[in-house]
Amino acid sequence: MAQIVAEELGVGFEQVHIVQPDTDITPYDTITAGSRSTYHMGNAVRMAAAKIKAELAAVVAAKLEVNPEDLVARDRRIFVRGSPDRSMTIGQAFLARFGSLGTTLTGEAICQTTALPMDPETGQSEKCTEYWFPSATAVELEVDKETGQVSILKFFAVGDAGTAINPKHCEQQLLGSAITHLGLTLFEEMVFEEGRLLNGSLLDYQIASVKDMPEEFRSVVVQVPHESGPFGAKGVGETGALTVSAAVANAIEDAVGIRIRELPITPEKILRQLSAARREKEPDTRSS
Amino acid sequence: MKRELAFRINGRSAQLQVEDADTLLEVLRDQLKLWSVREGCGVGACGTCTVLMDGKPVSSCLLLARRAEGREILTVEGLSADGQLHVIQEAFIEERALQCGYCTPGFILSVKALLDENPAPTDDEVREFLSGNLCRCAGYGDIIRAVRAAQAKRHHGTRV
Repeated sequence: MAQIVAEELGVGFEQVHIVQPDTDITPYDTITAGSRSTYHMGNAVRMAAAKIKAELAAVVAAKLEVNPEDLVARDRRIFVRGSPDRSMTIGQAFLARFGSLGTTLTGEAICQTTALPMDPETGQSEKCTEYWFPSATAVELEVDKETGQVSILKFFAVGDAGTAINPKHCEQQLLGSAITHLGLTLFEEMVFEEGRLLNGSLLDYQIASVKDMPEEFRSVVVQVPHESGPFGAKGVGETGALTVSAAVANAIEDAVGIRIRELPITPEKILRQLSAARREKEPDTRSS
Repeated sequence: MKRELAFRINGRSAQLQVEDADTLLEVLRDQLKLWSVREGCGVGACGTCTVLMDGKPVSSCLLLARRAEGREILTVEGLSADGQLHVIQEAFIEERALQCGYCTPGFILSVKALLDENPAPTDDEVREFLSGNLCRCAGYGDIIRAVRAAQAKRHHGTRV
């Protein structure tokens, strides 16, 4: 968010102060979920910053006697496009606007998105989401046919982030969500008995640790600017997760010829299906 | 029952009144305001609340504060000296080995314990030692790189 504001207002990233969510001072938002913050909050933040910029540009335009549309904000200055020496600093613009120091401008904006309902017959819609998360996982693994244990050797998480506002964060987010999903794919499971959760603590419900990291892993950020995102960005929170289970199941099928259709893909399920496949191939003659 | 507890925290002596049932985590946070010490799972399974006791990592959520009597406790607040960050902290920043940051203090202290005990660990040794610290952002790749960066800094520099 700070990078979006800095880019829009032409100030340094370190000059932007982010207030933690607090209903006393921050406006309404739903939740941080569905990979929506970069897009929804980002668009609102960018529009709010643009309103402040427009107000400052009007002041500068009047002082310099130019058209506000010809002004650019960069490096903490607002200047005339093509002649950077005709400019005012943002501080000077505030002073010109209010005639005194220590003044503030407030920008507010709402990002509200729309979707068209799906056709009940076809299940299709012209626009059922603001954006999609194109994602790919490449995995190389080994299956131990004696124990059913799966070892991930190579693992690549690929995802489209739109414009990556912070490429390193996008790489981390893609890989992180992919590794999280690797846990869901291979061992994480909530176990219920008569409606009661049996493994409701981290002692019984294991999540991916550093020991579950594949031997070789990397994430790849694909950047296809999205038309309605802030500076072309879109959500990337869950992109890396989407294709992990399918890739792992495909690789297991490629390795030992069995298809597991239920998560998590545990050694028990692999062994059971391997022995079922063996029985099918070599029927037990004693029982017939 | 409240009783006096005397121990050393981040290089200083401390005398506090603690309940017998107080955990070390509660005392460090509530009495000493050391906010880097954070509770994760509360059952000793996630490593988030890790502090060093006489140089060894312990889960402060499970350890009764009284067990720290006469011991030396180190939290992240005690790592930096003279306004300069510890090399492991520098390495975590340089490698950007944190995302939400909640697990980071526990990881940094575990890495310190690891490198103090074993200045040149193998990849398997790093993974084994850090397997008790969970990162739900799953930023383990960057954390391993930070361990290597910290190791190199300690090898080449005078600071440990």
